[in-house]
Amino acid sequence: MKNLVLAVLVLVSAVAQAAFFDSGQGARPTGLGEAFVAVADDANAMYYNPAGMIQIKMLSTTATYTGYMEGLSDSFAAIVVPVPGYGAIGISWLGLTAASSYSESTLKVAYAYPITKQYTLGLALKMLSKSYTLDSVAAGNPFFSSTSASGLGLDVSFFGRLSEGIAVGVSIENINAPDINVGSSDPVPMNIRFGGRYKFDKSLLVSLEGDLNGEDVKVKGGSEYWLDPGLMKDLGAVDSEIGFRGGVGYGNNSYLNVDLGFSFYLPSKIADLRFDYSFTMPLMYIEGAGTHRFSICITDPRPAFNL
Amino acid sequence: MRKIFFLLPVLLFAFSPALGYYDDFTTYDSYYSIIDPCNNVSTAPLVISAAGTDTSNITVDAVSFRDGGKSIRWDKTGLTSVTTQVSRSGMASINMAALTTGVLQFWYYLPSIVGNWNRAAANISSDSTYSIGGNNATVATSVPLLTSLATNTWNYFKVNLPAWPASVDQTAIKSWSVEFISSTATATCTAIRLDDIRVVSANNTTNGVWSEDSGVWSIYNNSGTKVYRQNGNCDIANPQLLLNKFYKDFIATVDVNVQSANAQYAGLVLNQNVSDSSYYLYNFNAQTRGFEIKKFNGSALVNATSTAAATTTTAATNFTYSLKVVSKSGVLYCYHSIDSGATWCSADYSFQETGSIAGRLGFLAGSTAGDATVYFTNLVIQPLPYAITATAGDGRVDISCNSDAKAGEVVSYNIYRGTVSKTYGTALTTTTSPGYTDIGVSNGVTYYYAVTANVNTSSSTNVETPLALAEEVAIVPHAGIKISNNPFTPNGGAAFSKASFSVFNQINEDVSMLIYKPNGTLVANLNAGNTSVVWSSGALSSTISWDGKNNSGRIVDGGVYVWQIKVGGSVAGKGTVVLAK
Repeated sequence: MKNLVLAVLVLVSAVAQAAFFDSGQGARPTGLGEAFVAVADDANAMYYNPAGMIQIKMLSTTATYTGYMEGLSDSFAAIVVPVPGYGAIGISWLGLTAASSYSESTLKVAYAYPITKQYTLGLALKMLSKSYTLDSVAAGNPFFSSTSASGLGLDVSFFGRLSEGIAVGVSIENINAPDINVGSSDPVPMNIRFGGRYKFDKSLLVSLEGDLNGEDVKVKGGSEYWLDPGLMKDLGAVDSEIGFRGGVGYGNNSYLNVDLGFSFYLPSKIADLRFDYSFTMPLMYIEGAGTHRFSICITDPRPAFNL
Repeated sequence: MRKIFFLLPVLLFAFSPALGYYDDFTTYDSYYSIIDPCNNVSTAPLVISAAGTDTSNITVDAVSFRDGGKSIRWDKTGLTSVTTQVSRSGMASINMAALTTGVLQFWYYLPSIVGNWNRAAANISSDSTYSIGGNNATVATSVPLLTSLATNTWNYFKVNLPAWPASVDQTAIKSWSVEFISSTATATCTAIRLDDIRVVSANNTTNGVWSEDSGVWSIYNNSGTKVYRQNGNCDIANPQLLLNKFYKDFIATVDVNVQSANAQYAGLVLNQNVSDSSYYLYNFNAQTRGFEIKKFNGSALVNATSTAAATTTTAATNFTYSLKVVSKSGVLYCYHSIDSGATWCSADYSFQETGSIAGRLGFLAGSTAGDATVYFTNLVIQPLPYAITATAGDGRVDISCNSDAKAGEVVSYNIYRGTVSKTYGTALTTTTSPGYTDIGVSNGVTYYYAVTANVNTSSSTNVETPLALAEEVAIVPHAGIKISNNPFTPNGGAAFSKASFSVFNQINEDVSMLIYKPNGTLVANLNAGNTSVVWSSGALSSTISWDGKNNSGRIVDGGVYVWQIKVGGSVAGKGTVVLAK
């Protein structure tokens, strides 16, 4: 049975190719090497695994800006609201712009439904939109009867907490492969994530994930460590905490990324804030490429506390 | 097992930022600080720092510099060991007896100012202990600060010293002070730090005093004559240096007077190496009456590179000559003149130094054969702009260069441009910074650029460094890479099925392009070879196209892709291109 499931997943993914590319979102997940499908314990779950929202105990938000290179950047924001006894709901927005020639956006709403105490099902509906701006030559292209298109996508996800420290997650995105085009077929491909994580204690977790997206196959892993709160107190930063993380992603088609990151958690009377930073260094990419990400979150206490 | 995962993020993170928390005080170092093993220089840069609060006169008590004319070495230890007190009496006493005319300069740093601290003044005054006709008196003047009161930055202060009444016995003045004064009683400055206090004196009664005036170094003796006097033996392991000042390319000239035929060393110290203290000495040896270039390694003479024939036929007593050294692109050229610089010899020596070029300058004088008084006067150092670079743009060229000049040394830079090498005509423009953007150029044309500096000297504020010594750089402005038909539609008509990249390719090298998804996944690896065509004024352009296919030959999905183009193995550009469906 397991082999059959895996075979189906690989087969389905192999017929699709990315259009709304998965470049990772959130400085904390990317600091973990994007191995976040089985972590998914803050508002970034809206991007990686909405079922993981079940772990969130209070209203949480996150906002991330990413500048890939001159003229290419994206922004991501998400809000998650726990509904006691019924799971959690969330909404997110992702926008990308490319040198004034292209833009795309994804507006997503999601619901995490607790099937049992251990297992949670996630469903997400999203509006995908893209728009082209033509240069002087392309402006004469009769192909462009329209320069924008949009459609609906459906995501299904799963989160299972197998024990106090072990959890697994699966996310199947664009399961309906919405065809969003201005002239010829351009289906947004299915993207499949699956993985597990293990929390040694309240300070340390490791995570492993596999991604299937068309012809691209990736394995990602990362680890996160939060410093002893007592140490921060000794340093005079009462209640604040610092976490560090690192990750690696490897795949076919010259994909090899190294990720580093840290977080600074700062509780306050108004809101508990967390500032995340990550740096992604693609080792087999264009020269001089490296991506900085900054996130600001209103969140639960540091996520690793949620054993 | 747990330790392994604990170490992963910690170690990875530890390697990432090259953060340095260690403060080696390099930013506080005095420049032009002096080491004088011969105990013959009385004033070195003085560093004072103090913290405190005063509601009226923002002052720091004097740190006396009265060491009887002995040399002081201000190094890291010196910077941190200086202590001061807060009072209203002023600060920075400088032992400058009989200072009558000249220039006072220093850098000051105000961390913060609270309240309305109006325009401050630098009160320059003598101390209260000197005597005129048996009556104690003070002489003082107030000089408004000519520079800003900006906080959290170093501000440069320089002012001409006031003239004193003729009745004042200037030789009785023991010290000076500088005072920051607020015009209100409510202002508070939390701290003041002074650095590089230096007095340019026209007269000094005690020993020699180094003097710096915007690129011109002068040294004065007790009779008011510009001179650095070295009397007797000198330690060749520790020549008189202008420290913390490194000139990569420069022109240095100095006049030298040798009083005695005993003088064995009387020349310029060149390129002292920081790590091993080795240096070259371009020297007149009065004993052999010839000009020499020698190399000293620490305290030992390791190589008498060459010795010129005797220059004078008579004993070298009261013999005056001039030395000139040009350092350019790692090569040192040494010249002498015996007619006060009216004519210079062909280079006595020129040599290429291997390894890094320290460019630190200094003097060495003395003898092992008895008294050998030597005077150095009129040292002028002109730092040459170097490492000129030109970056081509679309109808523009960005010029930049390095300069080792310190504040006040270089007034401006002249930018030269020509279409024939070493042929420029008049300067294209004059700028205050070592850089310029030239938008008066045409794509495809080869231009040659050179930069000279206009240097402050004692006789002029605008002495241009020789154009003949200026580095030259050639550049061809071009449009770089231009994309046509973006977005492109591989599933549409043939005319619009490819994105075309026009690439500047001056010498017809191979052109290649990589296509990636934004997440770093490789899509296509393309090679156009060398297929250039002439496009403008002899410059070449190549065209490389992407038809939307990956390395498997399949048209990929719509979206934004990242490209990188190489010409001849070097990255020529990168950007994004959009495939539409």
